[in-house]
Amino acid sequence: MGQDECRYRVEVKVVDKSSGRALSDAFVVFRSERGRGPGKLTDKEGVAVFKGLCEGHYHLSITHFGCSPFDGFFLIRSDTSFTAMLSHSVIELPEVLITDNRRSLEEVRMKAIRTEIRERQQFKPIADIATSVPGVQVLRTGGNISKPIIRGMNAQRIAVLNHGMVQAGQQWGNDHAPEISAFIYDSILVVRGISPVHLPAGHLGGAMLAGKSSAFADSHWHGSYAAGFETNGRGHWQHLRLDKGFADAGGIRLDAAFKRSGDMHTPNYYMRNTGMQEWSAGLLWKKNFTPVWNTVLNVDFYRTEIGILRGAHIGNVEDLKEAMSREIPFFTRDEFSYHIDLPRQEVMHLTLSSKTKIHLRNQSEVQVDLGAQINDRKEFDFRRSGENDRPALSLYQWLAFGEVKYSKNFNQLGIQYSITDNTNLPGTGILPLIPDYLSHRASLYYSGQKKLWQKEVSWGLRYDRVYYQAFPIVRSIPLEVLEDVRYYGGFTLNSTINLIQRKNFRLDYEVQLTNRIPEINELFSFGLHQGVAGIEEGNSELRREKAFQQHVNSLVHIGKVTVRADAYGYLFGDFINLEPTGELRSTIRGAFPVFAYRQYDRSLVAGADAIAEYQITEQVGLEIKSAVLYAHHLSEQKPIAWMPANRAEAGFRIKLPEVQRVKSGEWRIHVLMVDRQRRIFENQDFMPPPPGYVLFHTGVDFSIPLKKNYIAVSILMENALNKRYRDFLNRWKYFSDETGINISVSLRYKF
Amino acid sequence: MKKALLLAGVLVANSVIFTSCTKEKPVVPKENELITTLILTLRNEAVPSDSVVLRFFDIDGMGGIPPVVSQEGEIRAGTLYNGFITLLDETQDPPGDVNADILATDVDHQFFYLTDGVDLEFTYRDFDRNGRPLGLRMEVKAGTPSAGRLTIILRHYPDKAAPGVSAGDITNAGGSTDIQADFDVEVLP
Repeated sequence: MGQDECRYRVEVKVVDKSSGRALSDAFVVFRSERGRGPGKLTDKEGVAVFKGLCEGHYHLSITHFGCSPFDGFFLIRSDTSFTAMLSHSVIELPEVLITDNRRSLEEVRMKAIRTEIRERQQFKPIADIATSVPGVQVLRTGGNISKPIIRGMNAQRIAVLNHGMVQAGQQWGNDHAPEISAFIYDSILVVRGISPVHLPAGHLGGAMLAGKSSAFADSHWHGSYAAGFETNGRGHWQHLRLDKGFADAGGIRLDAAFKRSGDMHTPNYYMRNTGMQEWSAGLLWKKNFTPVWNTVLNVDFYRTEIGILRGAHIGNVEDLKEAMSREIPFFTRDEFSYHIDLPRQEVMHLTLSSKTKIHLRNQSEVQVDLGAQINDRKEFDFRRSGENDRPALSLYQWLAFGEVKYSKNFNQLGIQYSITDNTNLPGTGILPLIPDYLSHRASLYYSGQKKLWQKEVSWGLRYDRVYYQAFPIVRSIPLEVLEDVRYYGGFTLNSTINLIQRKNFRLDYEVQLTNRIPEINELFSFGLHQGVAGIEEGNSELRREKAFQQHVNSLVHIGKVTVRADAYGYLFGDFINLEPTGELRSTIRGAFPVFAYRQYDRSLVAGADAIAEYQITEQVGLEIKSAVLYAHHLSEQKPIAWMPANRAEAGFRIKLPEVQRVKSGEWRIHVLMVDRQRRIFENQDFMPPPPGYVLFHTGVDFSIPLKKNYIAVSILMENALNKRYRDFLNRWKYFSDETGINISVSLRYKF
Repeated sequence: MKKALLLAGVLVANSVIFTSCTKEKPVVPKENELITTLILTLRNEAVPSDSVVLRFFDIDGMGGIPPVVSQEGEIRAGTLYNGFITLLDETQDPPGDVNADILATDVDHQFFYLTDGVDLEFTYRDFDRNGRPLGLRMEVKAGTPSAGRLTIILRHYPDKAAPGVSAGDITNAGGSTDIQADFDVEVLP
């Protein structure tokens, strides 16, 4: 096919996606069946011209300092010119600035984690990766369990979605991370503030969405292999991805990943029993049955075993006090081990989902989603009887989900249904914290977008109807199992207005009214929460939590400076919180403080996030981020406990010159400053908040071109000064310091 | 649009049908780690019929019913007692013998006897497989007349090799507390 006709001229223009600026010195390479073509750098206008290209299919890849790489697949059969938009900054969202096309305001709200940040850090818990977005922090239990906090909202108020489905386990408590492997997903999106109403959860405080791409480059087998290791915990990991497109533009994709690490190390000692192992696998299959009908099937498997710090296993509150008084945790040993002993968590999730899209006439489509998830969680602890192989907690939960959505242009109408069945497997010999329950949730939503008064305005409405059938255990003599059946209704109303839309400035205003239905653990949990030696008591009298929230989001480009600054405020009625009641309950095991879910008449959470980027020279870029938060119970004049402290970050990116075959080198220096959390009363925590701290991180990225592809190398040095500190939002702060210096090396080969 | 509405309708219908599918009530779980009762019996070595029984009874574990503490008999100054501990789970019928569990895992357990203001001296009389104290049996010497508090603590996975632990000093023991029972006691003249 026209191999002799190598006479086509192709002009590629590369621009920055958010500002529309031409990008010079971007490296553009065409590859075809015949191998890799010559690469070219773009000129000052951002243009690279290729002459003498043959007719045929080409892969195009474009890399530029500080940008997520661009990959595409093209058929060339005439002279062509086109523009490629690269995400040149962390602030990559409002593409609207450079186009007259209308964009969904919903899209604008979502914040994608940049590909290279995700790839560089994919061995970490998924919530940790999301902290590159200002306003996102984590609540930790040690180094391997992290739960996201978005603008001060956590747990039930936010959602973690796994390929569109709610990830189970978030209602099981603070020491249960979203168990999702970052390896097998292509995108991590964070919704700060108002979530689109079509998400099945997280309408109060935002969401974190892990997604897989179902776009396939061509009909050959492609893939990537990544491997790496880290010094702290002597962790190592591998990930293999294979994908192949079909002639119908569908395709198949397989992922498999494994990670293992052992005892982590603070600057001074090993944290005994803090190893982990993680297996994950994925299968994605897309078929275009007809030009208007396609289906994507997705299967994800995840299994993990996580060790819990040996010294964090305590009995009563006296033990906790004793542990807090120690410089080094009990049971610390001066030796490293991969062995995961007691206490530990073993968790398995299997998720199946299908998404079917049928395009109708008039630019409209119907989407039908079906999904199921099987979740198995076991926690092993020291048993008095010595039966340590018997789990202290054994939960089995399945959920089924279905959705039908009709969309036309920017309007969507949909209905969702989900069933959750949570069963405590008998034989643990310990009364479960969360009772057995069954829940049905039916939801109806409608969202739209219109140009009103010359302004882009979007809105969303959602109504949820929930049925709970729970079986709480009453601590009477003898024990009794009750049946508690109840119905709730909850709604969400929101709107976003694009107030100002100019070439260099954009301002959006978001507003939402939400009625959150209490979750099962808030209503019915009862039992001992290990690690804090507290008795947790649900409150079956809880009413729905009401929230009125407003967010103002701005984006400014001034010359080489890009600033995104957002401010927000949540006003709550009947804010639900787990709080110490002040009661010290005397039992045969000693005294335990009682924590109960209670409601506050009025509470306020307000704050601001900002990020600024300054391209100082062609070689040096500066990025500054900060997040401040104020959280207060207005009706009782006291702070809301367990909120993130104020923080600021600054990072330099320095482009390195090419040395021999080492290309696209970049050196990063990063400083993180976290203030002491001063906004907490003495009686709201067991110990005063730890002091603030400053951490230095540094890293180098580069790539080594091979014959057809390249190997990308990333070296990361975290806590480079081996600083000893404790973090307010780590539940192990009572027992142990945070981890010390960690050097990780990751390699990635794409083929 | 019509198609979508139809599908939506089907789903609503489904939801109504599903709502009728409910879960069966689970059986009452068996709690086998519960200790409801700690009894410290002190027998006068010289006069075996003279005994003191201290009882700490907490029926509902983490539940809100306060524990009941009782004492039978009187501790006399200058007396040497043979002491032994009985642990029971009285939610079971017949009551579960928790002593057997402790004996089976004697290496991982140790009792500590802490006194505050009261002149009682405890000496271990039973030992685990490694020859280190366990504390289900002990000798108690009542000294001069005094009153104060006696705290009995059972530690799980204490570091029995740590300094002072084998002599009954809890300071360096570590581990987690399985039992902590407080008694207000008096040594009478």
